[in-house]
Amino acid sequence: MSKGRGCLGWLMFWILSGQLGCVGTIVVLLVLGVAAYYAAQIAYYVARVLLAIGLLFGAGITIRNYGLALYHNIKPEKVTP
Amino acid sequence: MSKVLDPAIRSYFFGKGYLDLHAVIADTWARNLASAQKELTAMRSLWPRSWTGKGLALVRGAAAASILVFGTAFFLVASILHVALLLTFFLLVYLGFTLVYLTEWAYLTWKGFFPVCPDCHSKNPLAEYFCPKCGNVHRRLIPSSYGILYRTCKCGQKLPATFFLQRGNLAAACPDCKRMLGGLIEVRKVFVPIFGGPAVGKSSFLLAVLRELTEHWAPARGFAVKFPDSGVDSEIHRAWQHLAKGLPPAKTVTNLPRAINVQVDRSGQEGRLLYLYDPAGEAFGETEGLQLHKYQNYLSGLVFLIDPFSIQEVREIYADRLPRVESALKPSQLPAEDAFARILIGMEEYFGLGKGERIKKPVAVVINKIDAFGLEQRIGEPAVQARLRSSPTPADPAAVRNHVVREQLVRWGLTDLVHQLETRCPQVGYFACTSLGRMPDGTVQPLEGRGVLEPLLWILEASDSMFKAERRKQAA
Repeated sequence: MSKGRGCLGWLMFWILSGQLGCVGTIVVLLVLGVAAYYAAQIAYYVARVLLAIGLLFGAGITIRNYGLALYHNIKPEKVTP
Repeated sequence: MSKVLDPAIRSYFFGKGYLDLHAVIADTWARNLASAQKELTAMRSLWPRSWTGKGLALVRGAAAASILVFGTAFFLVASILHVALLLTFFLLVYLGFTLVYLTEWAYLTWKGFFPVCPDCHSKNPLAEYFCPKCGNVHRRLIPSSYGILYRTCKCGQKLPATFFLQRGNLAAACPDCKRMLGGLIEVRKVFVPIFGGPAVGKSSFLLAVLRELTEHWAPARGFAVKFPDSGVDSEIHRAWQHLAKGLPPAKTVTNLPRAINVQVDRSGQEGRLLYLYDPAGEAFGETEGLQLHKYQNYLSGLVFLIDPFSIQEVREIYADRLPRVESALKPSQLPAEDAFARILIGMEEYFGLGKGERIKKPVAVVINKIDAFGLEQRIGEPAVQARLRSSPTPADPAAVRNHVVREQLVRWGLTDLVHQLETRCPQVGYFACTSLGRMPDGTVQPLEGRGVLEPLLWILEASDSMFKAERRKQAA
């Protein structure tokens, strides 16, 4: 953490502690930290799910492409009626 | 197995399958590239928008990567499986048609079935078959890459590719001269050429044999006799009608006559196709003509007709009476020794018979025209019966007939011929017959042969199991 950000943190703590008291301030900060942690977790899982969906989607497209190629190209020799 | 391109659809696993595989690989690759491109474009357009857009961009980007990575891996694995599948079926089909072909080949070889052209006399392992729908020629209608049991003609018609599925019922032609072959192409065949110098009476003998076979021998044994070549049946019946009116058959004019195909079969039994072959006397008179008579390559036996009036001794005996009947009797001008020598020369020159090598087929030596001057009483059936009656012990009629005729040939001064025959041919039978029954004298009394069938039956019994079995049945 840089010196400036450390100072800002102490400033916020000083303002909040003026409003909520020392214990209240610590509680609020803990709640915020936990919330941020879970938000990051959620974002991480959402991104993973989206990526998985994308990969599955791509795999589906691939299989569809192969199926279409088979369908359009595998044909027994035709006879002239 | 076959390099001949027939107008048929080749098995998918022998050609089209690999073209299709190539097309599938190319098409899949092109589709994957196009899809990946589309997903990347979508990602680029979605990313700068809202958070939802960014999420969707993430999905599309992942899809593009998946298509490129997973798609390549997937299509590689799928292509390998595709090739493996094609090769597996290729091997199965190859194995299938090879097995069927070898089985068919072994069976046909064992049975002695092969097409022989009655026109050019060439023997081929396979005829050219015609599609019944479009008339296209299938030169190698065998189990092959065109199909194991059946093949499909370019016109869509399904054709049997093997003997076991009645391939022989299709119209067929000789691969050499392109002449249409008659029915029963794939049955056992028996080849019996009838040799002799000009005017020994080969045509009359042949007609008499066919009549005896058709009207007496076959009906008595439950066989049916047919002439599968178109037009032959009516020609033969016309000739028989002429004989019934006392008219001798017209002289054989062509130098390369067709063999007469005679189909002999009985219901529930495998039939036979007899090739009774009547070479024209003129062609026979010149040994060069013999090269055309390719049947000698695979003959089952040989009938050697002798005109007794071509023998100097006989001509001298009947010198006083011969001039009066010469026009009706038409004595052959080629001595029997020369005729036999020409057979040997021809076979040595053109058919690989070594000098001094023996002809390993039964040879029936038949003295024809015994109706003239009472010869029948001396060497025909009456003479055989008389000899049998006078024999102190029961004798075999065939052996007695053999002895009587052979003895007469020796008496007529043909000792050298008899010696040569017995030296070069391990199986010789001597017979006497009259193809017309009497001399054609302009009267309408029917001309009917006697003793004509015995030589042929002797050859057939010696060379073919069906006729041998028939003889045993009769004897029992």
